[in-house]
Amino acid sequence: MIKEELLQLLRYKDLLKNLVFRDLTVRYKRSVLGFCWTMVNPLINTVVFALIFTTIFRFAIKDFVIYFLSGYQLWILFSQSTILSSRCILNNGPLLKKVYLPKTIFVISILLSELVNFGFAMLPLFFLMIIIGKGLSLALFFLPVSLIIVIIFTLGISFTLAAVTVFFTDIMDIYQLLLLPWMYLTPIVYPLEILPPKALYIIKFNPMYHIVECFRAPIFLGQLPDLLSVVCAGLSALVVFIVGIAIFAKLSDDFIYYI
Amino acid sequence: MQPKINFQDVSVRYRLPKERIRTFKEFAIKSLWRKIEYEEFWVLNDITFNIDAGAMVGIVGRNGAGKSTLLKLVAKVMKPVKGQVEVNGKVTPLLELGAGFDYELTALENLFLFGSILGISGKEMKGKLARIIEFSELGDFINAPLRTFSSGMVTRLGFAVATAVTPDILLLDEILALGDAGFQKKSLGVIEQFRRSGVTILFVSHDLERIRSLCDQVIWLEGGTVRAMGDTTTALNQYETFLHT
Repeated sequence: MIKEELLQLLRYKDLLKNLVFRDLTVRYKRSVLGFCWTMVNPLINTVVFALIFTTIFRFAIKDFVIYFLSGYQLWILFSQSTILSSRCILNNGPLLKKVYLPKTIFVISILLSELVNFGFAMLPLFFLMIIIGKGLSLALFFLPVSLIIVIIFTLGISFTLAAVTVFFTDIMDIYQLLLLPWMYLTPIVYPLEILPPKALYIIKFNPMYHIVECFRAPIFLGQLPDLLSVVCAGLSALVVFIVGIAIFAKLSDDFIYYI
Repeated sequence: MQPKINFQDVSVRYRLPKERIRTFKEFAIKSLWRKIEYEEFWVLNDITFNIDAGAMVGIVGRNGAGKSTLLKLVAKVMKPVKGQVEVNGKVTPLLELGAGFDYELTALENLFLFGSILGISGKEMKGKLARIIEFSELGDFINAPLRTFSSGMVTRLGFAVATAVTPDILLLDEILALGDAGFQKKSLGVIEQFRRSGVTILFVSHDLERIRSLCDQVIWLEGGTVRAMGDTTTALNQYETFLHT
């Protein structure tokens, strides 16, 4: 069944390409700054958070910017993809009622276009790394592995949400509501050290903590992430992915009665 | 010869909650109280028929008889609960106005997007581009965003793309009343041409006169079962007698 879906995706690869192209052009067509928005938006956020955290918590601003951006960009990639995926089957309902399409194609196209945005948003971060950070180290070669882990995790959550939302539309609102506390349970805007030991213990059960660690260590510290984080991140991504695929596969034949 | 479409004891059941529960909140509350009752109804019940390659078949029946469900099975967007549906060949559904388009993209960009939705590759589309643009009569508007188009223009574009590549099976759901009189004539011309080149066509409509003039065979559905199937005149006469009694 999964093999069948993969074969179909291959047959519809032109559609996948067009969907990604559509997402990107529609988003940027009507704005003057175009692709620059993807870079400007996080920078504005950085300034706001930097002001708050460097004045209140007295962090060194130089460190903060890179610490924050490396976690934040990854979080945006994850949260945007999953939010958009949660409504993709419903949004394409009128089409799916009439034409056969491999249904996973919408989730995958959303992830791909978010990855393009992510790539653009990473450019300013790399400049900052060279200018004010630890510079570029060999540990950066680990980033593709971290990216694969994020992609697998994101796809797993996306498949689950896309399928479940067809039956209960409020799932997407509930999910968006949960995203905010989830972000604050992940050390993105604050450093781990400000947490009391008990909170530190709890946070280790958050897969996004380990995933962010895998991505941030090479960029911020210039070193490989610790093995425990890599294992936790990889395993949780794999489990979430398999569960997501299973839920989607089980429910997808019934979408047609609800869209 | 192998039939193009083969339905063997096909049944489709809708199983929906009596009150339509669309939120998880409601579901959680109601399932806690075990209050969810499901209602089942069979939209199609033990349907068996064959359609040969190259036939143009009209499908008639009152609202809720199962006509659209039958097309969904042929288009493979739905699976039967029981029985077997066998469809040999590439199916192209003719969609209603605007489905599959993005109004922010230009007509040209939409053309490739919609083509790929119908399973036409970008390469194939490039080869057919001149014909599609000519047929849709859009001319210089081809690079304008679709949101500036009239509904007639959108319709013409959709029809031009859907018929750019000759399918094996064409599904028409109530949409031959396209555009103005001139374009209607043109689109009927295309359908006629498809017929001559051996495309199998399923045509769902309430317009019995049009079915009479176009189709070789008619399937009459009533309450999810086939009440009559056969040559157009006989089946339509039975259906009309039924309607008027």
